[in-house]
Amino acid sequence: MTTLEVEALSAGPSRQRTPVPRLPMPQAETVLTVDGLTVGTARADLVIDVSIEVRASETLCLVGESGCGKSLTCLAAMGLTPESLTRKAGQISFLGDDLSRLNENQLADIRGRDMAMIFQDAMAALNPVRRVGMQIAEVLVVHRGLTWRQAEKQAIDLLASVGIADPQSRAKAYPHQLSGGMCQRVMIAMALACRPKLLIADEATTALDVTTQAQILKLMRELQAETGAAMIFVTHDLGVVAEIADRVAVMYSGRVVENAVVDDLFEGPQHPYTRGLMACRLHAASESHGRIAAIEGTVPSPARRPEGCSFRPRCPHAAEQCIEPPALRPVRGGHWAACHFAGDFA
Amino acid sequence: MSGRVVLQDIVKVYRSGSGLFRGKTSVRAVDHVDIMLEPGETLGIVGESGSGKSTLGRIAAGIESPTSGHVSLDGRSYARIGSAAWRRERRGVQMIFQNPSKALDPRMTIGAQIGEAMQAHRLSDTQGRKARMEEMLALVGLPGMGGRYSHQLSGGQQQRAVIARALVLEPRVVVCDEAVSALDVSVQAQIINLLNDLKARFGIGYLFISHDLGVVRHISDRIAVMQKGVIVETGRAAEIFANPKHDYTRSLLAAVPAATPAERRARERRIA
Repeated sequence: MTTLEVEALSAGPSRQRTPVPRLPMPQAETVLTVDGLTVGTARADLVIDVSIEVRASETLCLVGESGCGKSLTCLAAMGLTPESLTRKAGQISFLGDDLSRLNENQLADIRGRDMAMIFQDAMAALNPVRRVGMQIAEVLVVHRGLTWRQAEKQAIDLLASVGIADPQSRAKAYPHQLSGGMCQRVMIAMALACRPKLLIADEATTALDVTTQAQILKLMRELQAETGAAMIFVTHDLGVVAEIADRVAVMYSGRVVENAVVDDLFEGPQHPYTRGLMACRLHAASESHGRIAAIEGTVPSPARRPEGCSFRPRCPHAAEQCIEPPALRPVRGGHWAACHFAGDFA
Repeated sequence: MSGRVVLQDIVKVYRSGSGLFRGKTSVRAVDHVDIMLEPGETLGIVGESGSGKSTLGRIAAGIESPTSGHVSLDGRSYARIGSAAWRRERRGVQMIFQNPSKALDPRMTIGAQIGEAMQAHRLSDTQGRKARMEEMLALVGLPGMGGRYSHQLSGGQQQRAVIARALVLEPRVVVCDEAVSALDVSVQAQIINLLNDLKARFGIGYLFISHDLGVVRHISDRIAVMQKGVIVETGRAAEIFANPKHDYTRSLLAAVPAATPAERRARERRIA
């Protein structure tokens, strides 16, 4: 789809968009706004009318099971929508600029400098045949115009800042010589090399051991406090959400079904899907016996979503009116949910 | 009831790298481990990657032999891997892995795979096997789905099929190596419920290996904590979590993410 077509679509008068839920934090600069984003193939939509916003120094968590559209939303936010998919509607603005108005060169310029992304499998994301120090230095050479000599020196400082001991010699290591946690630290160092305004972490700690995960989460919180970056954290683990989020958007089958400040979400989840996710959690700190309150069934495939609310077939509260798709609406200050019964749950 | 697995003084050493310029290196994956799985018990094994918990599981399942040490099921020592006696014994101890799509044959229906498992152990005749396969699939929540191929199933359904294939042999013990780790949380809960139902019904014992402390706490009667090939602490599940004795266990528990943001803030206040 060309830029013009996207504009034509997003300018179309027919569609009513869900307003973007905001945190009551007017002083911080808005870094990323995704407004009514719909992405899909000719046959099915994978992301439907998603609106999210993240401000400087704020961490937004995207939560949901696999296939709910979390990662695709992030890729679209980076201007990296896969070629097989089309952006059918919606606007993404980054620091006030409409991404769809930028050409590929301008986008490439922004990516890596102003926005950066880290993935689950750091080992696979790194180049296996280049030393990690050089890989970090390359970012600085490309985006900041440093000389290789300067960049290599700074790469060592960056490795130290992400808590790698003996950074001088680690910079000379190849990815396979480092542990998974160490590779993830290298990825973070690389992502933070240009002090991006936005950092997207897609299941960045999922593959790590708990102790390493705790270290990486702590590190990311500290680095955020230092740089004031906005962060989007994609995860399916509500424990990680409790650790790092300011605001949470819960996604189910391509849509945001709940959006709230983290404390409100944990204290009074308003969508039955969120409530189900909370209920089936097994936490190491609390004793549990017998059957877990599992959510029966599975996430529907995008080509075969049920009519009305997509969660209807799995929902313990499903009723007649659920045949009508529920809109994402405010339940109380800053807490939004897409359920006809939202607000009725204690 | 039978199904007691005893591992005595197990050592497993992997040797590697006889390169031209490098000498041989060896890794002691399991280092003098003694554990016993009581009949019908769920013994959880926790530890970080590289702690040797999967190696220990493979030795308990009889698909890998220890460098030294002794393994037995109900007092009978495991036969040499590959021998006819060993093949017969496999029926008693089955194994379930993390990735069900890799554990299933993509070119066979799941019904045929369950039938093949029975045929390999010469159980029943063709008719009997078919009836048993149907019964087993219904039991794991896949009624009438024997004609499906694995790619036609979701991840949770695939793991159910794997469980059906393991349990159709009526094993006394099932070694579950990260059996629910790759599943979505809601599906994970379904599979844990299923494993617990099957345990209550058939009295199967589980050796449940996982890095997920929440899952292990819920499913286990007893827990063994492994670090660098050594079991550093064992005890009743509730006891280990309430009152960890070993420093390593304590550090593992301290690293578990907070249950709520309020809990996280409370922890940060304690540290500050």
